[in-house]
Amino acid sequence: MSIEIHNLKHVYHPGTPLETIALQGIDLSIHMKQWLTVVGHTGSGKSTLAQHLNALLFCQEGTIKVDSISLDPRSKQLRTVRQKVGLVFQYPEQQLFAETIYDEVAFAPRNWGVDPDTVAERVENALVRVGLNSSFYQRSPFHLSGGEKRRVAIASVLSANPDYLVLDEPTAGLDASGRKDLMGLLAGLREDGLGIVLITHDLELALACSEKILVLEHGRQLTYGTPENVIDSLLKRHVYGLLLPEVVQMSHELFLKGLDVPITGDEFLLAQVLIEKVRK
Amino acid sequence: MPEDVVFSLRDVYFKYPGSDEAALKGIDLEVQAGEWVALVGSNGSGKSTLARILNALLIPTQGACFILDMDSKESENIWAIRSKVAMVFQNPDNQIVASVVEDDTAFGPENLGLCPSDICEKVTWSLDATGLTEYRNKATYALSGGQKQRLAVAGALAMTPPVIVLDEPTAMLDPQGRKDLLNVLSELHMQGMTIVYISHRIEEILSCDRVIVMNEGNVSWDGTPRDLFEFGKGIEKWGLEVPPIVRLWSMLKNAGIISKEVQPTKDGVVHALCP
Repeated sequence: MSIEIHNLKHVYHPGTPLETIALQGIDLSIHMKQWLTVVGHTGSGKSTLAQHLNALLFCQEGTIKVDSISLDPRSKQLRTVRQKVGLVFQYPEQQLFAETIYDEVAFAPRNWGVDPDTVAERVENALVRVGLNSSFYQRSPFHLSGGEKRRVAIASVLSANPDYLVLDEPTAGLDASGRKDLMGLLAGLREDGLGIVLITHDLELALACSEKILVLEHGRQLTYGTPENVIDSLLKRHVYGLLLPEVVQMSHELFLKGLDVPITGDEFLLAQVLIEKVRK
Repeated sequence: MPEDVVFSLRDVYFKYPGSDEAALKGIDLEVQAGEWVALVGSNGSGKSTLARILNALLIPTQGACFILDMDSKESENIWAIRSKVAMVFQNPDNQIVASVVEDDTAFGPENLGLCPSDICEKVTWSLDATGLTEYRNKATYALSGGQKQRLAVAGALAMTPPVIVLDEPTAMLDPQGRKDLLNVLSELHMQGMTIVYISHRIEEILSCDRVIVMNEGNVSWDGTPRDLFEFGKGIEKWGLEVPPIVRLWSMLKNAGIISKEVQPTKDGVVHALCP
């Protein structure tokens, strides 16, 4: 069970003066219960990649398979793919439209033709997973805080029972506690078996929570590996638009100046090592 | 009121129609010309509402807001206020009006009635300042989220306003884009522009003169960024997060490894440890 991408290429407006190569030469695989983060500068192709994962866009070269189903505009299984891969767009709260939270979350399963009892079960389940109890059912989604709206938007994707969840900049505009809650929620979903694909600018977030990170630069795959691989590669070569977290930069600078410190994004570890060294 | 006061708010309340609770509850605030003020606070603390009060998009339901000595309650002042106070909103899609990048940037200066050569100059400068020069003739709908956000800032800068209010202008920018925008603002600040900058990201406020912390519709704290960081974890009660580098700085400072005078920045700490 995995999403396999091989040599993906996507060009917007091919053959016109507006022609733009958004992605090329992308190879990656995403498994269930795995957390992949895609980072890159604005315009690096992150959102274009996200839209390929649930067949909103189709590759012009290369292949994408979701659980062995080839994504092709003529495929008869696109519905299945769109159910398997839930996509949470940038600023998802702007897509809320129903009068009550219940109806909002029930929209997807009702649309798939699921029977009413199962709809009720799924809505309840999805809202529990995002931490909203039954007192929210009849409230209007428009009177919620920014963080709560985003939870409703995620619940309305979860109610389709996806195996993979793709989130495009889900923390944009959220405050510190909202960000923390959301990351905790995603970690819980991964524990439940979902494959998580997080799209973000935030390397600090990516390094803290992912098993694999894909770094895009101008539509090309620059690095694809573990957080440690990515730190190594970004220390060797500056990537347009991305900056390593300041704590990582600092540990690297101190290391280059001759202090024997680990290169890390963990400020507590770095402080501990520095305090021990200086005290000695 | 002295001429160098840009914003003067007296006991400002604001309540959205149909809402039970006021979004702003008695704000008293003065901002001087040339100040760079950061407005921080958690979601729902009233930051964006206050920003809209500062550009007369919202009028206080109680109390008074004077903008460059003009009362925002007087409808004849509204256009004069908005031509002086430019505003960049959170969501760039809501403020892009034209289909080509350069036309969109020119929209503000055109409406100010400037001559074509001036408009062209301002457009060139603001696209350069926001790193969009290569997109000048591109379609606005084809831009990425972060590029749209840069365009929204470019449109406001092209009006070369004396005052600019930015509501989370970096939410969708990559770290380099964020740094670039802060550099542009820092330059404009040196040239005397008054800046009100709203952000969740506390690490972005280090270059500001003054930080105002909003909490539940009130001003909870007002001072310099350096003084704010002296609170340490205390700022979490306002829904703010201490940046990792500042956490490291305060651990080293508390352990006596670096002196109190060291700045809470990467360069400050590195220099203190390895001069």
